[in-house]
Amino acid sequence: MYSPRFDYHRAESIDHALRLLSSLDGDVKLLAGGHSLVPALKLRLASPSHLIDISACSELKGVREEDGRVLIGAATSYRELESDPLLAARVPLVPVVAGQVADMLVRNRGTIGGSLCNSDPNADFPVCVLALDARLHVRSLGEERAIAVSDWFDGLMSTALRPDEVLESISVAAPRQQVRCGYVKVKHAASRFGVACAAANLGVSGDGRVASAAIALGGLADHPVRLAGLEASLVGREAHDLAQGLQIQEQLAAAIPDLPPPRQWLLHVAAGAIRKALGQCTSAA
Amino acid sequence: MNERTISIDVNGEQRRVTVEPRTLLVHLLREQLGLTGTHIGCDTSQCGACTVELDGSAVKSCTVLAVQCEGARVRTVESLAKDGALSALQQAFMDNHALQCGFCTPGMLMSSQEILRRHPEPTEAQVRELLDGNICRCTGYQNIVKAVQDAASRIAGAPRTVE
Repeated sequence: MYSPRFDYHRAESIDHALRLLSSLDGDVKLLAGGHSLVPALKLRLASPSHLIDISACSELKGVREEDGRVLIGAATSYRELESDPLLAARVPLVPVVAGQVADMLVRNRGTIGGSLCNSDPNADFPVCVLALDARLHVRSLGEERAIAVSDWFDGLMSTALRPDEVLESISVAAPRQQVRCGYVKVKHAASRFGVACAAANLGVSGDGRVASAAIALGGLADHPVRLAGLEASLVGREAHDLAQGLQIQEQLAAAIPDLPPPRQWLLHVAAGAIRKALGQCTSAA
Repeated sequence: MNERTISIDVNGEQRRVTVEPRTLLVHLLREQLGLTGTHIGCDTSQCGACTVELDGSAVKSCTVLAVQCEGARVRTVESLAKDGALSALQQAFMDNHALQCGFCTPGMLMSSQEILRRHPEPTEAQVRELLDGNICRCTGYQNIVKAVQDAASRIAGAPRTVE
């Protein structure tokens, strides 16, 4: 037995999970796909008194469109995201990123909500949802609230989610124009975790120019960052050869001034990832 | 002790087993059910040696809690051969020398089963991409990839010549 002892509770619904959350004492953790939590338990990096398994809650799964937004259930697996036709049509960045998470076996189990709540600085989905200006919909027994992704990350592996809350879904505004996206991850040779992960999501207007641009970068700070300067310099450009003449590395250096060593190397790698992600936006034409 | 009893279909047999919540699926299979075909390699969710099929999907059984498998359907490498005859995939692994020490083979086979379900005629690139979660330290993958493609042809009824 590698993990410390804990009690296990299987929630049949979100409400059931919330009631368990409010009634159980000690450190309580939610379990969905378990592909961040179980490894942490095995290494005794986490020692909760209770686990509440929410993987059987059907309300937490699936993708739908309502009120001009695309909603993704928090316990939807990467595999489901990879192959979802609505996402492919409306929010293509999500399946593109989902297909690059870890490997086939992990994608069969791991969930988008699990990744966002774990908030690993080198993970894929924090970068993805930041580039999408997503909202995270959370619930406690007495309250529902929507948290803008810009307010979600709170330092290293920490989020705005309170201990009495469950992340229910992630929503993205349905695009009003054509979308081009790209995602590039530079993997660490041994762990295959992202050293730098760059996501680009562009809205292109009818005249073929960039109307809106989002560039998010993970791996270089406690949590992913948006690169506003770079985004501003993309708007209005013709949507081909996007990276041409952009001072990507200089923009990065300004955006992340306190990057630890190997600073120059990280900036170089990250700039290359952004350049390639923009290239994918171009080649999708 | 906070043990609990769960029902689980393992290789077509309905089993009732008592486990602690912290018991990993791979330990239930190997230590309680004696199904030692499923191997433990890295134990850190990296190597895929412990891959089994859980409700129709290939998963790393070292990263699944046994209690989560209440009512689930599990298939291990022991389920592949029928009445002592190897499956087409196993035979293709043997004929193509897709194993040396054999330690990663159970996981390779269980992942390959899913690859063949998704892509009845997989390209080399597809096999390599989808086998990314299974590490082999002997063969260098060349023959493993060949074996999966060969198995696909055999299942489709047109065996390739094995050199």
